[in-house]
Amino acid sequence: MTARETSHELYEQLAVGHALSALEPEDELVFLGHLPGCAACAGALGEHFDTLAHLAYGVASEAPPLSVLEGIRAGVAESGRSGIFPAPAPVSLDEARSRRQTRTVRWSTAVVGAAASVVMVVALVLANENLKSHNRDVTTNAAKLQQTVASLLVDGSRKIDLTGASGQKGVVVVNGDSVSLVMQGLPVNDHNSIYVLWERSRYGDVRPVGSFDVLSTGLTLVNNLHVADKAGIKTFMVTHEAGRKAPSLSTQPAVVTGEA
Amino acid sequence: MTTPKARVGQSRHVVDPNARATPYDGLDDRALVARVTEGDGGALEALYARYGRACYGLARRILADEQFAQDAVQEVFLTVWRDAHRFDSTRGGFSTWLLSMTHHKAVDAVRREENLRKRRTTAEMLEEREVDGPKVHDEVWSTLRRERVREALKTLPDPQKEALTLAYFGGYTQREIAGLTNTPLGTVKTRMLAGMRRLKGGLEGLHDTAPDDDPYPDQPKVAL
Ligand SMILES: [Zn+2]
Repeated sequence: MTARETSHELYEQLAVGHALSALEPEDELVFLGHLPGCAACAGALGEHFDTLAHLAYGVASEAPPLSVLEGIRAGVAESGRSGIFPAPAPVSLDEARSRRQTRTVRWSTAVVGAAASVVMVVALVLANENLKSHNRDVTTNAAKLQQTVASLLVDGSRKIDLTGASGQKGVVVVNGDSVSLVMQGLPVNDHNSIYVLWERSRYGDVRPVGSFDVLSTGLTLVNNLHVADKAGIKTFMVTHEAGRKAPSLSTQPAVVTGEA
Repeated sequence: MTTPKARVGQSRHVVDPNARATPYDGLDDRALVARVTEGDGGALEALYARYGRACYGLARRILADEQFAQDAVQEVFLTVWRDAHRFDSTRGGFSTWLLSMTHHKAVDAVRREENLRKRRTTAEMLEEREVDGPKVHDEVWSTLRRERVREALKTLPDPQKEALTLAYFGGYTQREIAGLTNTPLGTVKTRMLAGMRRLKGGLEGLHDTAPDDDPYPDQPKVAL
């Protein structure tokens, strides 16, 4: 290790202490003086905060008493900056519960296959540029979705509907351990991101089934995916992740989900 | 395989922040934060419904006092109300930001109130407490994640685990930990860095786990 690397190791130690709020004041000053010019420490700090957020879940979560919410409401009222704000469009109770259940959970992959080596990416796009009316787009896409799904069904197939909070729709077709995904209404992803299909088993563990690109807002068909345990599947979910590889921990909320 | 132990039943004066469905449930964290910056109190309550439990659990563990923990959580969410514009989603997720703020405030409080400080052992700081709460999907998932974190912690050598947990859950500074553990300050710093790196690695996946320690023995191991 060179002298320079050795001296930087000291800042790396301080970064951990800073993330833990465990530095002595003089060390804190040294680190805060170094941080603005060091991308490595800024990056490391972000990772430490992520790790510590996981550690926060090492303790049991617990419902606070109602008085905490009341105190927050009082503080909001006192601040005088609470505007009259239209609530988002209402959804049914069941729908809302279903959205919350899938959205708030950061799925984590369990043991298996740590993910990264996700196979895959076949995207067949059924373009819709000839269609002028949006409503007609929707109707036609819905019909194409059904047609595409129908073409994938064989004896013994399982069909799992996926839905998203903004009207996105999709279907997972499971034939044995082989899986196809048909999606409608997903935004096109850029070159720095990727969509990931995840499966959650009845044992509760989660793994990425595959990653794929969306090349058009029409229909996307993804073939040649495989599930680890076809009998054990409980839920499917699609997320839109940063980077070009499926992460081992999903970092984004679910775009669509469906119970098998 | 360990079965998730969701708690059933709810004590009378405890409200589950996740109990009610609202029209905000369709919005992701970033959208809610954007609404908070514009003065939408409903969006703040939606964030509280999502993360109030985790924040309160963390604050209680650090402060070992209900009232101080409640004050800390309330202060955290009112800080979100005031300073939501300071949340930078390009630097990490909202829950990371929120839990880091909760940790910071709880540690501040525990240092202000010296009598709150319990000289607890590492094991006591991570001990499982029975918690009343509805058996909701999110709670099951929290339990699963908790198990994974514990598995990752178990892979740390004891001195590293001790240094990290004394700092994170005990709110001790590096120098205090050096004193408590009768270890040179430099060694404490080294242990914390090594422990943090190892913990991060452990949380990325448990696929290197020995078969006997496999937390999901029922799962087929298939390489993708
Ligand atoms: Zn640096």
